[in-house]
Amino acid sequence: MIRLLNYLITRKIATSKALFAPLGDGVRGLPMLTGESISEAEAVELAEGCPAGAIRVLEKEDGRQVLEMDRGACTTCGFCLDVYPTAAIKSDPNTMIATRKRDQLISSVALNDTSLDTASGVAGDTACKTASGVKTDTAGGVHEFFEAADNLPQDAIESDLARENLISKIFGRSIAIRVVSTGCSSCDLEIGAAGNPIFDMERFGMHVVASPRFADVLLVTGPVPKAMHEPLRLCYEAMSEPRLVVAVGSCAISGGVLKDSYAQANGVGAVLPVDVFIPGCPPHPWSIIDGIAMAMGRKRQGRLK
Amino acid sequence: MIENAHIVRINVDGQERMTRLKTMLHVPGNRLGLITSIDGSQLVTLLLDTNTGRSTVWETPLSSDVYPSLTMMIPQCHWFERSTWDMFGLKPNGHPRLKHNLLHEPYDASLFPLKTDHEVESHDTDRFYKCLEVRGQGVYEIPVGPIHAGIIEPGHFRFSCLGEVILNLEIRLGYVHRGVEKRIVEVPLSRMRFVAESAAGDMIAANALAHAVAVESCLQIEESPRARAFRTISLELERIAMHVSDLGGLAGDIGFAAVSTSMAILRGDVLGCAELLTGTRFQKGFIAPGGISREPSDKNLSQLRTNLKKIQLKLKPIVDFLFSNQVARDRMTNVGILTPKLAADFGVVGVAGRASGIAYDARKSFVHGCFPRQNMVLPVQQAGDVLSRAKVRAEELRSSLEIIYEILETLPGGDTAGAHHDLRSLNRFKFKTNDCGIGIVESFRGELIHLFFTDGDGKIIRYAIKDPSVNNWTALAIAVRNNLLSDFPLCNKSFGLSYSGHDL
Repeated sequence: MIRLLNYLITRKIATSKALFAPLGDGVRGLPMLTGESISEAEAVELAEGCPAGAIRVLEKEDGRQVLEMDRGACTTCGFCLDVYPTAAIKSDPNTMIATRKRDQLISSVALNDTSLDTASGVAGDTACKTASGVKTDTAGGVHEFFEAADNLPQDAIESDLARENLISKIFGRSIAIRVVSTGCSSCDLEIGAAGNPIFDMERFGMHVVASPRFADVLLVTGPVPKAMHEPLRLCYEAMSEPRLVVAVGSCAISGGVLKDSYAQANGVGAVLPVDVFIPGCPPHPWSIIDGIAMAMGRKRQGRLK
Repeated sequence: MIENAHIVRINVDGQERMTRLKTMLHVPGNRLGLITSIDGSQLVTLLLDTNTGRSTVWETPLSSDVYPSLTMMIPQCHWFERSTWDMFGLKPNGHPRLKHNLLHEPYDASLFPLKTDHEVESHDTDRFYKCLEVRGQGVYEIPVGPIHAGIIEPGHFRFSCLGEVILNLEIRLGYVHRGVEKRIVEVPLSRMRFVAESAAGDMIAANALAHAVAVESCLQIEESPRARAFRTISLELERIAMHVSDLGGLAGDIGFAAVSTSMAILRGDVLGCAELLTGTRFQKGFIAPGGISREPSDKNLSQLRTNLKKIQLKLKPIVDFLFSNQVARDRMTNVGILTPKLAADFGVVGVAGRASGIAYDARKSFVHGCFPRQNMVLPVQQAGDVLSRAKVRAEELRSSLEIIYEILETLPGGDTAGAHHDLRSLNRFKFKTNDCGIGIVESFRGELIHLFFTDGDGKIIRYAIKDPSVNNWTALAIAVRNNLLSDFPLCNKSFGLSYSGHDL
């Protein structure tokens, strides 16, 4: 007993001092578009090799071809970064990558062109960059998150903001989390890791609870296969209002590599309305904490309040 | 008869299969790998010889969708027969508890996802599921799940209890059935490894390795020695991370917070090592057919060496605290006993098997990474209780660290990319027609099998994955009988099974 106490007392504090530290050198994060253009041949090969359909070559209405990247589908397999590296795609070291809107995870770049595709890409791509606070000198530049939402109708922005303010008032200080796993368990392990002494999400007021009855936010991992639709819906209905849903990981956002299987595993969105999307396969514990902070309404302009 | 390096494929008719299987399984060293089908018109029975590392596939043509069940003779067939019914509509006649394993009520009654050769003849395809009912005065039931209280995958446990004692536990799985085995044959070879990795999120390295070995065995290509070394380190790092996590979980279930939090911190360090080697904490996309997908830098390798030394130093006292604490020992001793006889009957694998007297480790028998190592000493225990399983884990932690040191010391030079290793053009490989490939890997949970078959055009038409949990879920249900309900979390953790790996 004395030896054990001695051991514990002589340990240094394990909790990470740096909050939301970016990923280290050589660590593979989610891919992001650099803004460099890419040839059609390369784009087609990338789209062929991407296991989750996160990279696609699309034709726009005006006839231009673009490479579209959906970070919400990416399974961090490394194909576009390690196996088939190009100047157009690099690893994103940022861990603050959660978004409130599904389409903010999607960005695109025109093929054989030197500028970012401004028609549809900037909103998504900028949101990613803003969240990281990373300045970029590529064409297109950095827009603030809410500026990028300019294209949305005014009342939609206002109601979003009103809801965000309300949520922030209620949950801004602390939030009770119910985790429902419906997938391969790696996201669950990372949620578990977010609660360990290294990341320690409890210090931010985030508590994992054992029943939906006293939960404020539902964290869902996995593609939600058919047999889990009903249990998940019942779990959501057992929560009191206001309640939030966070989709954790590519499978929960889009179905991942199992999208459109006969088990209809296409993510949480097929069953419940989703408030925050945390991409990654699995997302880093910091990304999970960041996403929960966003759900709490504690994140404005990419910073933790 | 078709033969390649590791696998023999023979035709065995139905009658012969029944009589021969039981005799074969009595031969020491023989194991039942799996039972499944290719397209629904035959049964496939995989026999493993753990002494020679050779596998035999028995193919039994079927003339109808009903065949005689072997479960009453060979208990370990029961789970395979249930899953084969779900996926192919092949009904085992005389199965004592035939229930749907994978497909639940929401699925169409006529859906048999992997059956391709013909429509299923009409027989009972009601998806209704009824748990075994235990009758008697004072017997009550506790339903748990599918959504559990903690952060864990979904599954349903039905306890029938008398007072505080568990009389029976029925485990219903299938909630995370996602269609992995169907999706994997729909994608080109270059993408298959990523679908294989999605089978179980905590066994990514093991599944990727089993896939790579299976593909390489069929193509008869070999990875470079350097790539082989890195694959082994990757597999052992996964084992260390999960054994640390499971031992910490055990301590947590006892209420020994000092050990469980120390283990949680240590697991973070191990995942950091995995990140140094492979670029991600969970080693995604690292192991690939033909070799590995990226070469770790020398700087990272020396950092890996230093970090592992630190981990080893930290690990020892924590493990000692767990095993030297009398309260912790009392909580684990004689709890959740799985007798060697039952473990053998149900073909239990991995840590649970070795804790119940089964001296089997695929690292000793089958080709994968730097294995087999015939001279490996296995930490076999006989008691079969929670303490034995914890001891086996602790011992394997030590040996895995040693394996990694040894490989890092003698790391072969040269290239990780051999002649066959251009991951951009994996699809150019052509499999032989009507061939099969097999990969058997000792994951941290135990024996993992990937087995695939090609058709007359050399295209993979059936890809079967047998997770160690398939063998071991029944063992858990047996081990908790006559134990206190409050000891269930402890028993469950000591087996540490996968839901998604089973459900696929």
